[in-house]
Amino acid sequence: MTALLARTPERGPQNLTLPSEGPHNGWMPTSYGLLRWLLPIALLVVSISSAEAKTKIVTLGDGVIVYSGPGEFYRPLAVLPAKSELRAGNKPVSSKNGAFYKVLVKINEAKNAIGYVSLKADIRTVDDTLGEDDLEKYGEIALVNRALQLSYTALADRNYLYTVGYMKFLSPGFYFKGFAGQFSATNASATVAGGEVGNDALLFGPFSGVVNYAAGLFAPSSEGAIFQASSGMNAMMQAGFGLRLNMRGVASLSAQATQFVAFNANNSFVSSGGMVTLEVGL
Amino acid sequence: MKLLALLLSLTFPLVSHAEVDADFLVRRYDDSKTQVISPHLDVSGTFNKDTMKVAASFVQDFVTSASADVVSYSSTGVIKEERNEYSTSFETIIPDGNMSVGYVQSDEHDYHSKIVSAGGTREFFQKNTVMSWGFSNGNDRINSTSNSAFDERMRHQVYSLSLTQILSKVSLIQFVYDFRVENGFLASPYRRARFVDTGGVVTTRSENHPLTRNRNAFAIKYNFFAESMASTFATTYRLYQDSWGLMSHTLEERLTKEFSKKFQTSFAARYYTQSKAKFYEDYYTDSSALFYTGNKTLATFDGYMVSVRPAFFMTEKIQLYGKAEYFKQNFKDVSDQGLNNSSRSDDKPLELTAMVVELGLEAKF
Repeated sequence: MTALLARTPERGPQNLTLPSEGPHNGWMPTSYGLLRWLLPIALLVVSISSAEAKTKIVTLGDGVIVYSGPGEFYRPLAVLPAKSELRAGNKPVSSKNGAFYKVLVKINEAKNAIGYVSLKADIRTVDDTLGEDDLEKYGEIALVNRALQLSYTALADRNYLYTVGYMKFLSPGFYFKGFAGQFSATNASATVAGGEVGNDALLFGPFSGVVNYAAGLFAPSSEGAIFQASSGMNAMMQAGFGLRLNMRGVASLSAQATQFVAFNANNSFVSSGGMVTLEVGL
Repeated sequence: MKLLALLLSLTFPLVSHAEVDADFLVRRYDDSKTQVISPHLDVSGTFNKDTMKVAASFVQDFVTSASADVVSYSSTGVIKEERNEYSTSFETIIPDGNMSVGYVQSDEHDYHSKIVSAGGTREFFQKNTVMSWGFSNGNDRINSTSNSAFDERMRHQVYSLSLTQILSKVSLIQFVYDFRVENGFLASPYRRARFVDTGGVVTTRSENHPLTRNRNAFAIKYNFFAESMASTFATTYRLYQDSWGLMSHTLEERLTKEFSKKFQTSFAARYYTQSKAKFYEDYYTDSSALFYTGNKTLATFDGYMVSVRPAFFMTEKIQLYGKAEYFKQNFKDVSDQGLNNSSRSDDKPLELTAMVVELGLEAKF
């Protein structure tokens, strides 16, 4: 029976034999007495079990993107070369971005995760006789690929840094962030702005490891503020590492150890501390 | 090694694939005035189907020195020093990259350093382009044998970025930028700056350095594999500049030749030249100078290095290697003070030559 459920990307959504569609799909005879009722019931049972069945898709070209959720606004989990094979659920998932196959993607040698491949991608299905050992036992990540990030950094000696940033995941687990914010010391403050790159990769469960590096400008409220010999415009760098808790694409919360420096040719302010960030998906 | 594998297996459930590397190395440095013997032990193990790696290392330095920088505080004219360094790191492979964190602690009786580091890499365009970044944060505590009340601090941070591009099947190019900032006590409690008055009498003072130093280094590396010669050529140019006005250029060529599957040798040659720091002087004539130093590495000099490193693969998993390195530095504005410390009468230009010898054994389990 599962052979009937083999799909091509183009036909997939239309050919689904959903429980509610069984009696109305037009090919079943209607004049066989008891069979008239038994067949739909049998089809219903098979259809329910077939919702758990698996298929396999193969990428035909390079650059097929596996997203963490059913939409292109989710983070890319992997970019596949041609001839990659993935286990997939045979029932595409619809979203406002179209229909997506739910697939099992290999993150690394030791880790698999649920991902989504658009039916419009350069793929085809090749097999529908796979076993039952996949998909359901993996959790979904559903991380969005664009987010607004708020950060709060507490540095040594009562120095603080607040920023707001826009982050976008450019490839699986790699992001760029633009940010602006305020550095606050006991008697002075400074405006900061810059860019950041970072790795954010799932390590276990909903937790991902984060390593990032930022560079930008540091403009104190007056010359000589924050550190001796500071000028109107100085350079800054910040880098950190930590853990991020991903909350199914709605938001993420991270805690990081961080180091910070503001400097010019004559002097520098060097510090370290802790940072927490909150991201809200856009 | 079995103990480490067992420890990993108890800690991590997927450790049955663990591979353990061990590297033991002894290095000896000798420049005729200072000798340093340094045993190193590095152990690393992979787990979680080889996607994660932990490493630990231990280094000792046994220093014996009669260098003019330090002997003034020794009644025998010779000092003996011991340094212990411990480090550990963790690295995990992630999709198209990796992430790592590490910790290093170094202890001498008068100098203590703690460094936390982390980094990441990211591969693009089917691994043809690799971007890496790393950083470290260090806190040093500086004391003095000659003054028990002396207790200073120095903080330092490093930010590093690199981009590697594969050009062909046999060549790649890499661009590296390192920024290091140092803040705090950046001098030595032992070194003395030399002053000379109008009568030619020499006196000395403890160094006084600026409290911050921003150091920038930019390097380009090009690696090429010549298949017909079974050799790899690695060419490196490095430009360094810092906020003390010091600038240097380094050019290095390294050739690694595979003579057989069991034997290969690396040959390297390096040329280095630098201009002095803005406030460096061999002898200060202005007694009101704001900054003054006795650090000859802030002077004008050039130097070269040649080395050879043979490696013999005893088995697929055991490698025995050695290294001999010779270098020479010619200082343009550093006087090697003679026996007469109060005048310049027996000074001569300073030259430094040194020989470094290493012997190591690396094994995989």
